[in-house]
Amino acid sequence: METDDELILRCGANPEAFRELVRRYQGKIYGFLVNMAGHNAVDDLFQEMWLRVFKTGARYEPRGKASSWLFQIARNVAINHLTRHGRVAGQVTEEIPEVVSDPAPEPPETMETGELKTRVKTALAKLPFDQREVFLLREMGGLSFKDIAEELDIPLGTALSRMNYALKKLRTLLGSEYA
Amino acid sequence: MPDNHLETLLLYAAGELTPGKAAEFETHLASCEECRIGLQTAQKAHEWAKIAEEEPSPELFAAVLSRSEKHRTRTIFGKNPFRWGIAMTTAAALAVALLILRPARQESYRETTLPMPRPPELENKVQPPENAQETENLNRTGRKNEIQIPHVVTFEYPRPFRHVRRTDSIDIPRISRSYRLNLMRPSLQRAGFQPEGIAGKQPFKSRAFIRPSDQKAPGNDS
Repeated sequence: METDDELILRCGANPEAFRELVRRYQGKIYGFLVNMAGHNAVDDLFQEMWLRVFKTGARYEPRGKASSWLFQIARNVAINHLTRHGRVAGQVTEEIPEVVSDPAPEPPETMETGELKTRVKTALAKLPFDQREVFLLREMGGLSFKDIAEELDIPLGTALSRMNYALKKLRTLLGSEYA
Repeated sequence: MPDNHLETLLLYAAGELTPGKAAEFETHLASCEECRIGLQTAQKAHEWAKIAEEEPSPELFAAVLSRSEKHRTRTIFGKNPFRWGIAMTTAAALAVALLILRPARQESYRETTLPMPRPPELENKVQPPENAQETENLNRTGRKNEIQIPHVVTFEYPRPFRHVRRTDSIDIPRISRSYRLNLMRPSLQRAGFQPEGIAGKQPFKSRAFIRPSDQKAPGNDS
């Protein structure tokens, strides 16, 4: 099976490689974009993000994790969108993306899972933007704290501090039963 | 919990601590309840993030692939795919036009040597042989070797795109020049034309044939 690095490098020329790459990361990237920018524009952002990957994949230099590179692109797309719409000023705006629960009725056996999902997403939406950003890049994107600090152009201690505040707030919001 | 413990905890949970520092932190964990709770939360965070993931709809997945494919097509053929076809058609039409209207070869000064007719003043004139071979030829044929007068006929080749040349009201078809000359030679001579230099003059570059009125008497160099 091809590695993520190989898929990224070949995705510009090989439709199958691109399809496989999207298939592997679509859930994480889509979730990341939903939690960063909300549901309204996520479809456009998702397409734009993958188009950027498609265009720049041939120039990718596999120095770190492939997922880090992908999530950096996803973050840039989301930040650009939020900046265009005046929702990010210095990346400290506490704009909360709307949480849309699944409109389809859930069967009883998955009710608890659905409820947990909604509560987690609501709690994430209540985080300040900068804390949510660090949390998502770390836990969804798998970026190391060092990479996050470099990407956001902040000291490592600041990244760790934002993560710590995010975890404390999530623990409070989700309550002991989910923590 | 001190701030440096918080940072260490997060780095430990992320697996970004060196083995030495990780072992040191594990020793601390055994005695610090607050750090243990913090570590549990940090480890739980990955589960929360997993829960927050969402799958895009199949339509969106297809749209992403379609958009990338469209971009690939644009990259190869430009923004308008038909433009490539138009360019190819135009190039093919130009190639055909050039093939049809191609310029003639530029051979302005190509020289052609014609076999010369024997000058009348040399007819039946036998010269003494100069060597054994000539003596043998003379004995066999009764004539000394043909006197070959060097002769050069030069054509002024037509300009590009002119494929039919008129010389003294005689249409010269589009055939090779030497072949054309050979074909025309008897009729030209019958009509009184003579290749230039026939009178033994030094060859010079001019037109291939001269008019009868322009001919000089053989041997008359003045």
